[in-house]
Amino acid sequence: MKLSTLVLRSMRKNIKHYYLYFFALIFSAALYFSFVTLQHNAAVVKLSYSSLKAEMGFKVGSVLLLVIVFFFVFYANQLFLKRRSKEIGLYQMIGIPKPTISYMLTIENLILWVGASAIGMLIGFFFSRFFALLFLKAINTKREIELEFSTEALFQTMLVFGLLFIVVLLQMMWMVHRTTLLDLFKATSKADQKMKKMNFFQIILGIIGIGLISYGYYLSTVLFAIDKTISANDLYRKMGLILGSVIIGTFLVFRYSIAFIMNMIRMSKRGHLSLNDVLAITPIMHRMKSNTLSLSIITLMTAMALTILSLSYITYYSTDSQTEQNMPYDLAILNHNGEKTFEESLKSNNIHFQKYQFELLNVQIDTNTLLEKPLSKEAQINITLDNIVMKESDAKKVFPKLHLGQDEAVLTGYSDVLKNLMPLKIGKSMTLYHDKAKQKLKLIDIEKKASISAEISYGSPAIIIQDELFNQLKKDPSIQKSTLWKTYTGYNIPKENQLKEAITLYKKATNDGTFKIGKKDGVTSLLQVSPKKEMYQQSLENMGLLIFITGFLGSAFLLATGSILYFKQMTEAEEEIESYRTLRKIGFSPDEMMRGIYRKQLFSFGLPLLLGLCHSYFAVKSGWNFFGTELVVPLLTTMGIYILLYSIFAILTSSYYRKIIKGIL
Amino acid sequence: MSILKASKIKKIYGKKLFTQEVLKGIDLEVEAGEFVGIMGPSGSGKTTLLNVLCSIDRPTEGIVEINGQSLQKMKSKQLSAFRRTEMGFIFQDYNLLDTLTVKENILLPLSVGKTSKQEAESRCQQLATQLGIQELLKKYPNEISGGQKQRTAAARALIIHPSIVFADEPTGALDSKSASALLENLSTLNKANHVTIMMVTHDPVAASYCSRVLFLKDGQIFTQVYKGDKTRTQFFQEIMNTQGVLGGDGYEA
Repeated sequence: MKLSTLVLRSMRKNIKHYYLYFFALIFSAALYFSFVTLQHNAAVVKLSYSSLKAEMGFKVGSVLLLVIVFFFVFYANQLFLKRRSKEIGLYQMIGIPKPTISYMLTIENLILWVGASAIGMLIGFFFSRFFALLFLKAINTKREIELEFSTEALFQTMLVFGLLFIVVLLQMMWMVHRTTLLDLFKATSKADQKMKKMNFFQIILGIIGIGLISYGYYLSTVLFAIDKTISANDLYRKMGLILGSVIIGTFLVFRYSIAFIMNMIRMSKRGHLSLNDVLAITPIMHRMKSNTLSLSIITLMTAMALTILSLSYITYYSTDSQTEQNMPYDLAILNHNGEKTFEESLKSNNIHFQKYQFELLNVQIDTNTLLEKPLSKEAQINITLDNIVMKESDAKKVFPKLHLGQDEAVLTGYSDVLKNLMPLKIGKSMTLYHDKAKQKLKLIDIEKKASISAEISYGSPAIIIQDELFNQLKKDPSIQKSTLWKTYTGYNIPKENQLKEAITLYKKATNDGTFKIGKKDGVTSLLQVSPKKEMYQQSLENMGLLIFITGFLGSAFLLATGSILYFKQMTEAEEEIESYRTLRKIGFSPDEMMRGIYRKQLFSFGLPLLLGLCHSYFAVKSGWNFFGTELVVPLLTTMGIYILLYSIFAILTSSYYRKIIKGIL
Repeated sequence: MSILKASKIKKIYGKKLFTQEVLKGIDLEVEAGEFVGIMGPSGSGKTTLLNVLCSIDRPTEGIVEINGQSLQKMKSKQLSAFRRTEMGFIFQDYNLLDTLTVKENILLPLSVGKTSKQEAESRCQQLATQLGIQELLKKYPNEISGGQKQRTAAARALIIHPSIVFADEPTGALDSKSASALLENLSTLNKANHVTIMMVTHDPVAASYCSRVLFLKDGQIFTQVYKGDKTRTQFFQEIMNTQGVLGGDGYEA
């Protein structure tokens, strides 16, 4: 018999084992190819306002995707080799030298890889259309794109999978080379060590594991506390500490804490186990050592995917309110530039509008004293005293309930980011400097809603004061000198269908929304004010790109972790077949046994998910307000969808178990 | 009183043209307290017969009754429950669960059901003492010898106080010393606890511990011999002689 015949026959006979590996490869190739196809499609990239960002996004995305694919293929190959170890051992036993075995496996793998990549790319090509549609939907455009077969994508995928193939070959050869005959026969049972009695050291490690995770969680809640975090370096150090303690903690929890808890349960039964214990607890304990690493990695991958997905969805979901915060009116005009022309043209076109006008002053006010906790000295340097001030009568239009007493003030446009970063306390006082004199102002209220564009106030809140004080300050020459924009006029167009026309008129009247100011020292300031609608569309496109790429990566993570768990459970089921047969023989029905199996699945899938959810919850919680204004809805939606998709794998696995248990007698 | 009654058992494998009749109409009755051996050359249908009798396999034709209840009338779920409450099993390759300790393995059949913990505990202790494995209760199967594993399996079979114990080549994987120790144990339990045992074996020595031995040939009962008042050595001789008549050496691979 020729070697090639042997290869083909063994492949035919092993089709069941290959099936798993083959699927993993096809899936990876399809995912990668469709992503790269989109990446190389000029039309897709140009769709977005900021094409440079889109290109970068896709590039970063493809690199991350590559990492996931690599991990996934590497792991699948390892499982695959382990399953076939007996066969490889048999070849060695009948005297086939190791290099020949490696050669055989290489041919097998080559056939597999070429086949899988071809099928994968074909599937990926069709899927890329679907993904392109999703992409368009995400960035909210009605435009269409032509998708052609991209040779660039083809070459990139081929190159990547060629390199992956070499890595897998090395992995395989190393495995064949390293192992002795005896090892190969034992491979499946190698890591399966029996449960030894827990010693004191292990209990301590188990407790340390839980402690480390709790410590990481605690740190994450105070990560952005301004009184503790001093500098960017400090922030990175803390982030590293959080990551480190959570990762090590997760590992220790899986390795020791879980084993410890299960051991306690088992001990307490003194040998009188229920069938559920027999099918769930004991096999898990039996495999805990060999499963620790993969369960930890799956947990961390889940956490990572969920965090990325939640944050990008928060951003996407908050586009609306974020835009509102940045630009409170449909249109805005500064320093009366073109105001008359615009209003007249509106009137002549019968467009109804609402007008909100504010007189503004740049005043030196020390707001540090408003903070709940004092700033660290390093942070104080970054705080400017320059603040935008407006008068009560102007602000009343936007905030009708406003009422100020003497020496009182209200903050507006106090966004959630600020709220989290610099919590202020109502009732405290700030110091106003004018005419070389000082004056105390008492903070009586804080409004989240903004009254003027964020571009004018540099993102910090505007301060409302009494008209008398305002008029007094207006006469101060130094304040006059430092004031850049004297008025801000916001326009709202109540009728949606007239907005488009109004925008055209606005652009005509204001030179596309560009406002210039010439200072006495010859420096001119330029400010571009975009209509709210355009701002919204632009950020929607940016966020759409973000959510598309992260969503893609997130699904890749999900599919990879789910498949790995599925493969693992398949392998475990096959290893347990003899036990299941015994149980069936001595008289346990499949239904009774499945109850235990469900528990085992609940553990294998549920625990990594639960820990992953916790990890990501704390990660998202600590920094979410840099990304958006809404937490609960996007977070719950993301987690809900993730759990739903994830549980499909658990259901698939359980039905695989049921099939095995029913079929063994 | 007969515990097991089988009539006209037929088992045909394969479909249409390629059929093979493994059991060709076997009638059999086992009385309470009997220790029945089934012998015969390889391929004579010993294990098939045992599987059919113990409901792991279904006969093509014929009826099996245990304790007066017909197995053919039961659904698979009822059969499972029936096996768990009425039958004990000992297999050639022990079939212990590696993940469980000896004690947990013994108590396994009681893990679903209403036996109280004290009752289970006392049964376990008693059987462990009778079988000489009380020192091993906390060990795992991979820490004990083959003979000890098989005694654990025997304890697991007996813990439910079954109507009948089915043993398929229980000594097949044991050395002769462990084998005779196990058979002594089984024989003692058979007499002391009135356990009914049905054992498939190809080993005349093992068969000589039985009270009756059936000889199977080509799917039919060829003959049977009773121990009666004979000593074990005499009975062994008789078994050897019958095997000689049966033709073939009975040890063919």
